[in-house]
Amino acid sequence: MMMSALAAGGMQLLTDGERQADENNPKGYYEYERVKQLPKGDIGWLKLARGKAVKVISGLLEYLPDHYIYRIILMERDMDEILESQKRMLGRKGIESRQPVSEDELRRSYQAHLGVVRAWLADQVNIKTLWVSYNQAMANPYEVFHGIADFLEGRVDPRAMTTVVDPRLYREKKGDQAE
Amino acid sequence: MINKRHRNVIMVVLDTQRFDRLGCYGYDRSTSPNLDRFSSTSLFFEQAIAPGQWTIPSHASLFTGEVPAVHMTHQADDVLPREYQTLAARLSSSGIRTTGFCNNPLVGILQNGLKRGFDEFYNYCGVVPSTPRKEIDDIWKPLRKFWSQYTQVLRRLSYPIQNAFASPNEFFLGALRPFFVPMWTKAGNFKGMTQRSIRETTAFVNSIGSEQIGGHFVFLNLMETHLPYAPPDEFVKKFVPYFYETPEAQHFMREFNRRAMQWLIPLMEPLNEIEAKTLSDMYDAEVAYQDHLLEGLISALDTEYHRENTLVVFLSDHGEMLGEHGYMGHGFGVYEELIRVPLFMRVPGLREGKHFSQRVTITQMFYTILDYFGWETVQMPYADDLDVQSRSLLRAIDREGSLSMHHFSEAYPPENAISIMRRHMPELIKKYHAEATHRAVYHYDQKLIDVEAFSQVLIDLTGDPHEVNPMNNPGEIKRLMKVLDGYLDSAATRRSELVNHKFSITDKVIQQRLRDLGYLE
Repeated sequence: MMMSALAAGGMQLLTDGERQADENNPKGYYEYERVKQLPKGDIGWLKLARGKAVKVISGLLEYLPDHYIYRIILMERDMDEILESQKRMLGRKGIESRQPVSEDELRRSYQAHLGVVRAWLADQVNIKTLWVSYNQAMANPYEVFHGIADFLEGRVDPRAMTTVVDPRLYREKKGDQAE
Repeated sequence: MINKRHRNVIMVVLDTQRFDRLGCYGYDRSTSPNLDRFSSTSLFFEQAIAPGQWTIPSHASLFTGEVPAVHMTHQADDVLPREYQTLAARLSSSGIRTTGFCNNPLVGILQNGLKRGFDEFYNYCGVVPSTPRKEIDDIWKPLRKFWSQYTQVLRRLSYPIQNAFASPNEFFLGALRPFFVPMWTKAGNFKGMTQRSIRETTAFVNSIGSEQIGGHFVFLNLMETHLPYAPPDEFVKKFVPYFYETPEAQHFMREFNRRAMQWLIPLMEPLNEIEAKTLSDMYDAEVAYQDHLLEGLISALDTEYHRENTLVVFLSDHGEMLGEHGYMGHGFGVYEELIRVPLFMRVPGLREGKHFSQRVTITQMFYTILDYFGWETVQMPYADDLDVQSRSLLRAIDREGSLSMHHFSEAYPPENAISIMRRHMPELIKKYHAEATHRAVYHYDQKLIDVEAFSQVLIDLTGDPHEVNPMNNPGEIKRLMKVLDGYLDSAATRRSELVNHKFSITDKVIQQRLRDLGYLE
């Protein structure tokens, strides 16, 4: 949702369309495959990302080279919703049985990971972070996107961003399944 | 020829000294008769640049031979990675006595690793300075010993407190209030004690020569040309002759000296004519005063012994913006006033002064000094035997024309200054793209200024020395951006040996889940 909102707001995205839209993400993944190579030291592509938005999962942030300045919009979402959503995605891929851990264990692991990421981000002088609640963005999109526009020094139009908020895509939300 | 038995290096950093305010670099006011005289017998670099725009990154480069994109020591609370052995540490471990005389708190007080390797390091700045002890056998000796121990304890206690002011926090922001500024600039010896430090360095220089040691490396950092400006009357009368008859000039200078915040951030509005002139002339007065104080040291170095054995280097770590392009101080931008610096050195064996017109960087002083002491290669975290001579400026004249064609300077935004803007003038951040890294790429007389993610402009320094008329040449901008990318990629490779990842997804459960979801490989 955030990537499509940024694009609608006028931000250029760095994506490659490699991972096609599917049932899980009907509007596409907005990913750039080489991001996954960060742990292997593939950072040459970052020059292409200057002034653009690129999707990076929190676990890969540490591999971003520190001679660039980054603004990170870190999307947070209700943990139960995340786990539910992931369970569905894995179910559709037919690999739900490969995860032999309880949801409580996963929840604890994710929460611990987020705590570490939060502390690490606070320590990085070349990174400015805006934590954004996915749930709030769905409930009050203009307010949240206005904050993002400020964070990006007016490089996106918050009103245009709201046009992409589609409650139907909020289908994984508890008690509001679109399917 | 160099006497192989004794080799010494005296490196004087004229902190915050603009190249264009020295006579030897063409200035038409007599601000620097002593440095001019010294430079006339030196290897004189007409176009030297600093690797960074302020003290910390520039000194880190001087002391490690690496560029800011590699050592990543940019902020007041950064610490030089342990993997980098400093110049002083390398020399000290090979039997050369290393001594620092320092007036800059960012080098002398902060525990950022820049003092590593000095056998003796004297701080003339800070609340409790440390200066050379006088060994006199008289009745006061026990009292002096007690006092010395007492101040040592005080110093140890004071350093962590003074370090606390280095971070962009409430201490720092509070200290910048005009009410507090005179306290830390005067009682806290913010600019150190220029006269005393030069006098004691001179005494030390005079004592060199008789010992049976491998040589000396002496580092002196002078801060006289740094704000606040308060030169002695005779220099004010000479360089700011209207000052005492112009209340507006006096009021402006008094207020500017108290508004430390304004030393660090760009201007909201341009200075008016009298303000700009006063500031510029007071700077000249400080340059002239410092030059006057250096006369004794320069004379002490003019002995036969030092002429034959001592490499004497004068340079600056960065310049100073005095309102040009809307900038003040040395926090932001990569304009010439800030990153082009004076550099000249008297080389034993060089019979007459020589001018070197190709561009060089002061980072090369690391290799130059090692070369002078006989190093052929040096071990770096990413290379076991990096060649010293090809990077040494002592060999520059022999290799003129074959040196690197591209040079780089980087201005990572200082977080302290950003924190001031965020709190008091957030609109300045946007106006000056203050949070972006500004970089300069030089290719002969062309200079690309890259404001990361915002703009790139190309300047012809010959036709446009004040950098106000960007050229319209997209092809050349593209080419130089590729050169810059190559520089940054190379820096990233060299730095990768040092990267200490602070977190990793060690949790196998999450790793597996993210792989299953297609987010990790």
